[in-house]
Amino acid sequence: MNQYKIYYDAFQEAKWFQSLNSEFENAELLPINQAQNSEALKLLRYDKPDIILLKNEIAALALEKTTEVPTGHNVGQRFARIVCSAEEKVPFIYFFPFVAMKHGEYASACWINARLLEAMKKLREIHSTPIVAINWECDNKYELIRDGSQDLFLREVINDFVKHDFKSEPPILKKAYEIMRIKYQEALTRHPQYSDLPPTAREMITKYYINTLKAKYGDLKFNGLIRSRTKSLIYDIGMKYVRSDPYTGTQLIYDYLLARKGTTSKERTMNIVLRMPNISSTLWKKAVAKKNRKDIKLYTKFADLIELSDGIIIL
Amino acid sequence: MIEGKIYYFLKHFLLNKGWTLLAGEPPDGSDNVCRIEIRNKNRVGIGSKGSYKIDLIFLRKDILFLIELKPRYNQGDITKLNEITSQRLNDLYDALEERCNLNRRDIKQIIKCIGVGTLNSYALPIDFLGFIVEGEDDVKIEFGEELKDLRLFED
Repeated sequence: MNQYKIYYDAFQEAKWFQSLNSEFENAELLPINQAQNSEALKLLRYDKPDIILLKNEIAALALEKTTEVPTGHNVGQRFARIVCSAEEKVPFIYFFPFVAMKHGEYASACWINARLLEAMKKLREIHSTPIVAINWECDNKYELIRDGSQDLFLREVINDFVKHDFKSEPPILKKAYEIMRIKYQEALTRHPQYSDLPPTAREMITKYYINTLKAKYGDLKFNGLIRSRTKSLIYDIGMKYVRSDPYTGTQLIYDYLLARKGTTSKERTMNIVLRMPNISSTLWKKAVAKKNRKDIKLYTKFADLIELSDGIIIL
Repeated sequence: MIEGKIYYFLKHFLLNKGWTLLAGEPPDGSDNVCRIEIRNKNRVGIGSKGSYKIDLIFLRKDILFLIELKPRYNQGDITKLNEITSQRLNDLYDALEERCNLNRRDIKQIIKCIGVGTLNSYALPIDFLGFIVEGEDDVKIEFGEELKDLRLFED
């Protein structure tokens, strides 16, 4: 008999996930922040997903569930944990609404940022791992469906994963990927600007960019890899103190969407440059001095160069 | 007991007793339930400052439960529910109408409730209902002095 463990961030989500398939009926439910198991820990290197499923002590699946439409500052908020799963070759399901009503004084329907769907596709292709977005459907007034029927397709997907022992691409994913493709195309039709560079990113010829830096900071030694890439992607990060959201996730989305061609951060067509004009070297050093900071870990692991207000960091 | 378990166990306890879940705000993560935000209509500007969210809102017939959850008795929850049911009552009705389609005329009584792992030796206020959640299917109900005669859980 298969033994399952469900690591959870929120108890009600563990119970919900457990109810999605009868195979998980006797699963052990464990809080994710007390995880000691190396198979669970390997998926917590950047941040934590809502659910990690172990089958016979092996990481089988990770899942994120949210009622929020990934748009505005939320687009990349959860992307680092998806990247971690892809790097570890563990399938990841991201269950969220592609469109839903945003309530409040300025209530309106809120649509997904198409770049997320495309970045997830690239992530899946580069790491050859199932990475899938599943739509939490809404009704014709854009209110989220909450009667249980919103989980039906997700149940089918999980059932197919169980049937195929989480080891290969279950056939149902073709359907899920096709939905992602259609939704991406629809989003592009609605907002053609999604096919252009995002407003906070711009491409520069590396040689010219390096010259600008040299003019500012004198003779700097850039490694061969940086110099070898003709173009650099400059991501403008406007934060006034060093923090994570939404920048680290956005950085990873831009990386996969625009620059990445292989599984490691060395395999890029363009350099990733993080430009932080409001962060001084003193502020940066102060942040770095604090151990185990997720934001510092992600900024430095996935960039080639960081330009601060008064200096640069070559990574 | 952690708040997440109190949320889950109490939610299912009341559903099993025939109460209808109108809205909720789990302590972490998401749930298949709508969230309502009780906004302060007098506030100028954007953002949610001055807004309240309630952990669980249930309805049966014309009685509404407003429930705040904590592992232990917390005076802040008592103050919050007292404010919502007095100075902010109109904001509450507006939020219920907007998100749950529930008209104020359909509500005859609002009962303030806390759901806790333990009362921690505190006396429950006389106009509150207390749910002491000790485990799955293990919920004890304490009635404040003023509510003692109410029949809230009978078929």
